[in-house]
Amino acid sequence: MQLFGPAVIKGGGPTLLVRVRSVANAAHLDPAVDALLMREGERVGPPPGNARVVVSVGQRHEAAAPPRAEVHAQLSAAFGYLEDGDVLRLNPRAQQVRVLYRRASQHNSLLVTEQCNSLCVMCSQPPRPEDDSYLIEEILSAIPLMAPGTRELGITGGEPTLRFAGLMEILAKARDLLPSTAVHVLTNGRLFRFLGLAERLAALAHPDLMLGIPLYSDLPAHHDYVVQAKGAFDQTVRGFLSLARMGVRTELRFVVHRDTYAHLPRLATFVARNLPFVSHVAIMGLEPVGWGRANFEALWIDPLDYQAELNAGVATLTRAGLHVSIYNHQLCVLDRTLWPWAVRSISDWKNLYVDACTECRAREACGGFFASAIGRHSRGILPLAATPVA
Amino acid sequence: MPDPATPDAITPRTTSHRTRAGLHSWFRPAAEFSPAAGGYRLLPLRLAPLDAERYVVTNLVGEHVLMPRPELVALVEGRIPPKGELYDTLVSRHFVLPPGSDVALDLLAAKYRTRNDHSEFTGLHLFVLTLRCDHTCPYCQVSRVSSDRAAFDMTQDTADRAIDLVFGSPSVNLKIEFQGGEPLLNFSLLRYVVERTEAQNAREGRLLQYVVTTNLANLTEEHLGFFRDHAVQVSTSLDGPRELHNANRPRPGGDAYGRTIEGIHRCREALGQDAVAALMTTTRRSLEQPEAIVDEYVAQGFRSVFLRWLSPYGHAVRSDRVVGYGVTEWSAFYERGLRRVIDLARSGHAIREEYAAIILRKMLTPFASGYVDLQSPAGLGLGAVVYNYDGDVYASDEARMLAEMGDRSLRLGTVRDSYERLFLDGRLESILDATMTEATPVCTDCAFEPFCGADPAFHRATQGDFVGHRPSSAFCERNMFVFRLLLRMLNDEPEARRILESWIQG
Amino acid sequence: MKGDAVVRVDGAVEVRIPRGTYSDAAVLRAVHRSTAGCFVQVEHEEPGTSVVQLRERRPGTDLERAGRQLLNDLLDEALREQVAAATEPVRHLILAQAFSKVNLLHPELDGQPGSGQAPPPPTAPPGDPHRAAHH
Repeated sequence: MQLFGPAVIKGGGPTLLVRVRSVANAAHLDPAVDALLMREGERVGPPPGNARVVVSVGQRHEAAAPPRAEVHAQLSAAFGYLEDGDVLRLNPRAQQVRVLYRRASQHNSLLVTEQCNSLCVMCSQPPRPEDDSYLIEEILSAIPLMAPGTRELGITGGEPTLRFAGLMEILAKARDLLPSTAVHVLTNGRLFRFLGLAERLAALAHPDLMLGIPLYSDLPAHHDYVVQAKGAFDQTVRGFLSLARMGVRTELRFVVHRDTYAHLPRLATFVARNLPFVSHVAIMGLEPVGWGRANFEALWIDPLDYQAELNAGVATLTRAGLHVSIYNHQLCVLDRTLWPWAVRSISDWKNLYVDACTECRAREACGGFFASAIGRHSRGILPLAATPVA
Repeated sequence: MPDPATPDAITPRTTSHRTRAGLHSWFRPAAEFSPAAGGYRLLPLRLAPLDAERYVVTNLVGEHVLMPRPELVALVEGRIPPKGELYDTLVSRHFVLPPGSDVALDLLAAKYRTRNDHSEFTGLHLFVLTLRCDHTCPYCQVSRVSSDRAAFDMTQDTADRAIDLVFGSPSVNLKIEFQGGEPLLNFSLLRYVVERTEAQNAREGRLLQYVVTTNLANLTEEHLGFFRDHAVQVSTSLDGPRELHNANRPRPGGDAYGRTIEGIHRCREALGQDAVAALMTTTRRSLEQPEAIVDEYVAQGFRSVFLRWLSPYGHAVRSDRVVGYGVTEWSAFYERGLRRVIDLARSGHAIREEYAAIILRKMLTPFASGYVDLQSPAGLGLGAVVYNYDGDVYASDEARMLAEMGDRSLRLGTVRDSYERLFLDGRLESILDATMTEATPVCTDCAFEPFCGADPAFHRATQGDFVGHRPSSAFCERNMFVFRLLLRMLNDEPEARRILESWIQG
Repeated sequence: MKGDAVVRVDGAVEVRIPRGTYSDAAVLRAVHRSTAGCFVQVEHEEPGTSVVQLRERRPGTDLERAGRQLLNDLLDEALREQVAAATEPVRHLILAQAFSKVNLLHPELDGQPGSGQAPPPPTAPPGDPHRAAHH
């Protein structure tokens, strides 16, 4: 699914943030914030409502725009998935469009900054040092456009805590305008070694907040290597402790690859012993995107070759009463003992299958593949004869 | 359940990856982050010989490693090289600080606080409703066969004052346990206490539980109906197979076993499978048949058996020759029984041994244990309060048994005293201070201290003071045996380890 | 010291311990462990030697074995002293931290990053040739 790309944008100067409304809902359109969404083939009889911005998808004719529109963005058919309530950023200068929020998606993620103080060897969102502080304002403008029924919202980076004040504003706004939306922040947690910052976060009293924080080893030196930052282990672990002290919920995240899998069993013991308060442990497969792609040959290990470590780690964590999930793993390469922890997790638009999967009875319950991983997969991929019990 | 056997022994494989591509040149290799040789700092640790070859080494919070003496000496002298399984384990389990990292100090402090946090414990309040009993068990500490209610039953007035003390305690979780004697012989008072505390709790909002400890010999439908309506859990005694149980627990008519088993069935039918638990007492007769005792528990559908040590109180001391035994005999009994439980668990029975489970939680989790006999400071008053039939208040069940032997040193006062007078006037505190194992001679250096505790009533009964003389303490000898046994099993027997680890879940 | 350190003397066993090798405190702690089975007496009859006399307390105690066990225990006590010397300050620090409301280990972490101290600068390299791959 394409979320970003070129567009022909006519009229308008600065970057625009708009929520699109379908033709059927044109009557509810608020011209201050909404754009009229015209899908391929949709004909607009008399120009509906009072839209100042029109977004047309896959239209062949410029004439589709109603006469009163000040801005008309023409997107390719790849954006045909757009629906009423989605939020876009239109950049007339660069002639680009980015989809910030899709109302129907469970995987909306807001990028706070691309800067980061770590450089994880498998990062799927490689950091960039450019000044992108405008992103905070954009998110603050986008939140009021989101549907109150949104189930979950991700906040990601870069390292979102590097824009601490902005992050606090975003969380406060989400708390006020989207009170029933769970917010999940991906952070390396290093800055929360300062108890005062954890205290400020806790003081927001967000009703459903979780911080997802990666820890790749129980050995300080090895974690520091994986995130390419000396002292990061101590800072992240202190971050976990500060957040726990302030009552902020945390999720511990672990990506299994060539340089981490052997550490999982002992890390699990370490977590059970030292961080028993984490609400969730997420164990993820390698995503061949960004640095994960550039370093793929160095980091790839066939999941079949780390089942013993995965089993041992999950057993230890589970015994300790911790809630564990395994993400991004095809069921056929996971030991059956691990199926109860497997989650169908790859974002909907990345979820693809290979030929062997067509015969598979467990396909509906399976995570599938990352689109970018389809070329390199486990030698264990095979159709399953039975559907796992949910 | 995944196989957790020896998880720390897994090492990276190289088979399917003969050649290995490197990271992009922007990334620095792992070696740049590795600790330099010989730079670690030693963290506090304690050591004790485990067996002929190995030492057990524990840190401040009960994490352990086993190692031969030469390695231990190398560790202390700073000579463990910074590569390899041993070094990694020592770093991970907080025996050394690697160069450039000191977060282990924060973690050790946090774990130490967690282990010593008893604030979440359930306040256990024992009401001794009567000393009267229909059984004449030779080892029993306190009971009387008598029909003299005036002499041996708790009065309603005493119960009222005890109830005020129950609600005077700060615990959110309150458990009221009815003891005896045979408490069902004073059922009207049991009913009264339950109904009054329920009514009062409607205003207090505590989490209130009830347990009755009964031999079930005189169980009526009225009792069962009341237990069901008020969620009263039942705890009974089952010493083993019929012959052993009946020999241990004489009563008129002789068939204590038959009555207990029938009672268990009726309780389960009326209250649910898990509404009844059983405890066993180990007598001299039991020593020969641990397997039969364990099998009896499994046959009767229990999920847990507690292979206990007979406390040296009351009749148990006086009739030492009939029922008593030494540590060596008990240890052999315990190991055989434990191995039987493990074998049955391996073949699929849901059964565990409670004493091992309590200790394993201390060995394998960061949390404190609520078990009264293995706490430091002693669980006295913090874990339990006993309201005796005559209105005396004791700091533990053992303390009242000590009093039955004529030693009232652990009596806190009577139900007529105020909560402050009983629990906050310093008496309890001085006993607790004296029993902090971290400050007790020998204990302070003992590698097993994080797994152990103090039992002041035991030491008062056997050695004359609350602390006791550790080198000759049966408490110490018995527990050291169990600690060593469990550590050897955890480290040397993968199959046993798998079972034992599964017991740490509450 | 020549000959056997453990010798039998009129119904007792004497263990001779060189004082330069072990501290007197270590000797006393090791001897305390012998008190389960033995009555003990410690003397410094020559300047350089402690003499521990063990007599039967618990009937059936093997005194010679107790004497050899004492020497083993002594080695452990010496090791414990070495550990204590190396770790006593850090032990006190950990215990103090366990019950302290403020951060004794790193006081600066109790607050927020100082106003003069901006969040750490990004360590990311400029640009990323693979970036386009994930959009």
